[in-house]
Amino acid sequence: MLRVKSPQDLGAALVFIAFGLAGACFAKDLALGSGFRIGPGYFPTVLSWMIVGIGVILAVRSVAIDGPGIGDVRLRPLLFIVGTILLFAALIQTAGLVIASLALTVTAAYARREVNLAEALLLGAGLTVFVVAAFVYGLSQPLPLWWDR
Amino acid sequence: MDLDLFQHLATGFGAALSLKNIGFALLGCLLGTLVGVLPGIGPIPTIAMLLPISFGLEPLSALIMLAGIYYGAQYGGSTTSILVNMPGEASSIVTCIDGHQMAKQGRAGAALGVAALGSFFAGCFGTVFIAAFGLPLAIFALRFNSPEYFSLMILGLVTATVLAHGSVVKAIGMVLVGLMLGIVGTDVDTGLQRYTFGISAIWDGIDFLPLVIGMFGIVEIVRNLEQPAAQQIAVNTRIKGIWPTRKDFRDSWRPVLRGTALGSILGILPGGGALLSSFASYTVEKKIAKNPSRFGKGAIEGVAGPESANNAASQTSFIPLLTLGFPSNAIMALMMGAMIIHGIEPGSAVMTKRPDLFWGMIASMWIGNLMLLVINLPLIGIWVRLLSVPYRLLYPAILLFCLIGVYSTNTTAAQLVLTAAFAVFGYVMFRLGCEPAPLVLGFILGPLMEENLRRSLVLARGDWMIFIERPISATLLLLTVIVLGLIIFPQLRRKREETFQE
Amino acid sequence: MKCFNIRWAATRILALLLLAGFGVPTHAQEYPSKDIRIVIGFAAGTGVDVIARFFANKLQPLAGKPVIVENKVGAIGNIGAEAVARARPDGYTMLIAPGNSTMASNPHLFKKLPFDPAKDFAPVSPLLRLAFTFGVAPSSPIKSMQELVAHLKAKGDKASYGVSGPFQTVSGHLFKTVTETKATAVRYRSTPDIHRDLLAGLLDYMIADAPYTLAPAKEGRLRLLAVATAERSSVAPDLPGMREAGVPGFDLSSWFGAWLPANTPPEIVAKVNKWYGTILSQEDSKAFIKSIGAEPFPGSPEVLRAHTVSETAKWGKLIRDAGLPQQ
Repeated sequence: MLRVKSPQDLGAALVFIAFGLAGACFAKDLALGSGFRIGPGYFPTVLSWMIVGIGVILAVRSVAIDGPGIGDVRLRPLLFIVGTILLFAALIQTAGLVIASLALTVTAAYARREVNLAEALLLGAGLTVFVVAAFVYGLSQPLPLWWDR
Repeated sequence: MDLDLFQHLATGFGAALSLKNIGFALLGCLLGTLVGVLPGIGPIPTIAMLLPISFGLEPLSALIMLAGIYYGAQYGGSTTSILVNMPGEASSIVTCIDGHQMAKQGRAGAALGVAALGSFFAGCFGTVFIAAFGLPLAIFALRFNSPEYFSLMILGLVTATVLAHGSVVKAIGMVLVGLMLGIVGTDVDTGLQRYTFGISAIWDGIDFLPLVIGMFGIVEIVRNLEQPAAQQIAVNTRIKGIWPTRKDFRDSWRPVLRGTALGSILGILPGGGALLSSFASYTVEKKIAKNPSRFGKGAIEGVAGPESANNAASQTSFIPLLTLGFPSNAIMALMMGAMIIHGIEPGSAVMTKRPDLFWGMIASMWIGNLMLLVINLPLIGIWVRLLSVPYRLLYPAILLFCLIGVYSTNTTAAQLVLTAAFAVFGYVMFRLGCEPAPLVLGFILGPLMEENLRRSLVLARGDWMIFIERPISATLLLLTVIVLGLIIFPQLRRKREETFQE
Repeated sequence: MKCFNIRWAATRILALLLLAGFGVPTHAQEYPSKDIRIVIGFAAGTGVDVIARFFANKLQPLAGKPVIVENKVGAIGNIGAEAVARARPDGYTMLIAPGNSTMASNPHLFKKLPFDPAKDFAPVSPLLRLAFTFGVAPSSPIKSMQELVAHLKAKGDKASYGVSGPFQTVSGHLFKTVTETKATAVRYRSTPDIHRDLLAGLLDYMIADAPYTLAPAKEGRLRLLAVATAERSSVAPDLPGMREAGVPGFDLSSWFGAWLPANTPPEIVAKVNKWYGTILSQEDSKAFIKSIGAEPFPGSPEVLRAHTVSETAKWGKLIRDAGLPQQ
C-alpha cells in the first residue's frame, strides 16, 4: 500500500506534471523544425516533457522519503490581497488613482481579521496624498488622477 | 597600466569636480536612489524621461547625471530587496534570498550596511578597472557571439539551481517552468505567437515586473499576514544594532573581493552581465562556504558578494560603450542615444578626441559612488526605523507602491491582473516548498538561450560542433560540466550524512 | 432611506466638485486646457520613445500645458495605436508612431488589427524620415553594392544576413528578389547583436537604421555601402542611393507621423499641425533630427494622409511577396 510520506513533494509533483502536460499540449501546433533550423515548437515541447519528468521524480520521492507537510493554509490574507489587486486593476483606469488608492488601503486592511476602518481610511488618505505628490507630480508618471480621461 | 593613466585621471577629475558637475552627479544619484527604492520605476524610464531635458545641458553634465541615475538605482534596488523582499530589478533578486532573512532576524542594518560598503568598494574598483583595461576588455567582449552566448546561458542556468536552499529537484523544476514562462510571446525567429492565447498583454512576452512583484513581494505580504497578529511584523523589531558588527566585516570582506572580481569581468558582456554576476557570486560563496546550509537563512556572504558583483558590473558595463560604442544593455543604448544627441560619436575616438569627456565620466563615477555611500549610510537608520512601523500600516503602503509601479510601466490594467495571477501561483509553489529565485532566472535567461541556440545553428547550417569548435564557447561548456559535478556530488554526500544521522 | 439620500447627495456634490475641476468640456478655442498625452506603442528607452519624448518636450512650451508620454507597449505598436483610436477625439490623446510600421505594415501582418488606420485616425503631421543602410564588416573585401551582389551570387544560400524587426525582414526579402540572390536571413533581437556577429564574420551583410549605423561607420567598425532609398539621402550624403549603387527598384525608408483620433475638431488638428511645423523649422530641432540620423518631414494633414495610403499599398505588396506569416 502506497503511503504519501511528503505531501509537499506530491503537491509539487502534481503541479509540475499538470504544467508540463498543458505546455506540451499547447505546443502541438508549433513546428518542431529540423536540425538546421530548429522550429518554434522544439523548445516548448522538450521543456514540457522535462517538467513532466521532474514531476514524476517528485511523485516517486513523495512516497519514498519523508518530507514536510503543506502547513496551515489560511485563505483570508491570500483572497483579500489578490482581490485588492484585482479591484485596483479595475479602478485605476475607470475611477483614477485617487479612488483606487483609497479603495486599495481599505480592502487590504480586511486581509487581517482585526480591522480598524477609521485607521484604514486615515492611512488611505495619507498614502493617496503621498502617491499623488510623488508619482504624478514628482516623477510625472502617466497615471490618471480621476475618471475623466 | 601606464603612467599616462594618472595624467588622464587628473584631467578627468578636473572636469568632473566642477561645482556644476558635482551638482548633476548628486542629482542623478539622488534620483537613482529614489527610483531604485520605489518598486516598478526603474532606471530605464527615468533616464528616458530626463533625456530630452538633458539636451540643454553640457554633454558631460548630462552624461554624469544620467549615469548617476543608473548606478544610483543599483544601490537603491538592494534596499527594498532587503527590507520587504521586493527586488526592484533582476540583479537584486539574489539579494532578497539572504538579505531579507537577515532583516527578519533584526539585522536589516547589517545587511544594508554591508551592501552599501560592498557596492562602494566594487564601484570604486570597477571605475579603476575601466580606466586601466577598458579597451582590451571591450575587444574581448566582441568575441562573444551567438554560440558563446548560448554556452554562457547554459552555464548560468545550471548555476541557477544553487540559488535554492531546499530541494535541488524542485529548483530544477522551477528553472524549467521559468524557461517555459520566458517562451511566452512572439517568437523572434518566426514571428509566431507562442502560449499567448490571444491575450494582447502578453503578446510580447510576460513582463518581468508582474512576475517578480507577484512571486516575491505579494507572496511575502500574504505569508506575513498568515502569522498570528503578535508576530505580524515585517521583521524582528528587536533590532540588533544599526551597523554591521566586526564579525560581519570579517565575514564579508572576502566575498566582497570575489564578487567585485566576478562582477567586473561579467559586466562587460552584453546582455545579462550584471544579473549573471550577482548569482555567479552567490553560487561561489555558497559553494566555498564551510557551512552552506546557512545560505537562505540570513548568511551575510550571500548579501556582500552579489551586491558587490552587481555594482561592479554596473560600472564595467560602460566599457563596451565608452571604448567601442557598443551598448551592452538597454540602459547603455539610451546612454549611447544621449551621446549621439549631444554630438558625440560613441567609440574609441571619444578617448582621443574628447579626453575630458571620457575621463571626466570615469572620474564622476568614482565621485558618484562616494556620494551614494554618503547618501545611503545615514538612510540605513531611517530604513531600519521604518521597519518598526506596525505591519498593519506598512503592508497596504508596500502593496500600493508595487501596484502603481506595475501599472505605470505599461499603463495597462492587464499587467495588474497578471501580478495577481503570479501571486497566487507563487503562493501555491511556496506552500509546496518551491522557491521563486530559480524560476525568475530561468525566465530571464531562457529566451536568450533559445534564441542564441537557434541562431547559432542557422549560422552553422545545423552543425552542433559550432559550440565546441569555438574556444570561448567550449571553455564555457567545460565550466558547465564542472559546476554540474559540484552541484550533484555535494548533494549526494550530504544525503549520506543525513541518512547516517537518522 | 434618509441615510441613502444623504449619501446620494454627498456623492453628487463631490462628483460635481471634481467635474468642475477636471472635466471641462473641450472647445477648440480653449484648446489646450489640460495635459496632453502622447501615446506610443513602444517601451521607454527605445528609438521611438526617444523621438516621441523629444517632440513632447518641444510641444510643451507651444501648448502651454504639460505634455506627457505614455508607453502602451505591445504587438509591434498596435496596442498604443488602438488606445488612441479609442480615445475621446478632443485633442488630448495623440499618437506618435513609425507610420511605415504601425499604419502601413501592420494591416498586412495581422489578421485582426484592433484599429483601422484609414478610418480611426485624423492625420496631424508627418514628422521625420529615417534612412536604412546596407553595411558589411570593415575587414571584408567588399567595397561596393555591386561587389556585395557578386559575392552573394557566388555564395548562394551559404551567405547570411542579420535582421531584427519587420522592416529589415521585408527589405531583406526585397533585396534578394531584386538582386536574385539567396542569402539566409538570421533573426536577432537588436541591431548591436547583429553588428557583433557581422564583425565576427558570422554574417555577410546587415541592413540597419542610419541612427545606429552612422556612428560605427565613422569609427571604422562598419563599412556602409548604400542607403536603402532610391536616391541619396541628406542623412548620409556621401553614400549612394540604391539606383546609383546599381540596384534599381529598391526604395524603402522609415517615417514618423502624429495622429489624433478620428473626428477630432479640424481646428484642433490645424493647431497641432502648426505646432509641429514650428518645431520642425527650429534650428535645434533640425540639429537633433540630424544627430539621430534622420531628416525632417514637415507637411499638412493631407500630406500625411496621402503618404499613409500610398505606403500602405506598397508595404502590402512587399509583405505578400515576402510571404511573411499573418498573426
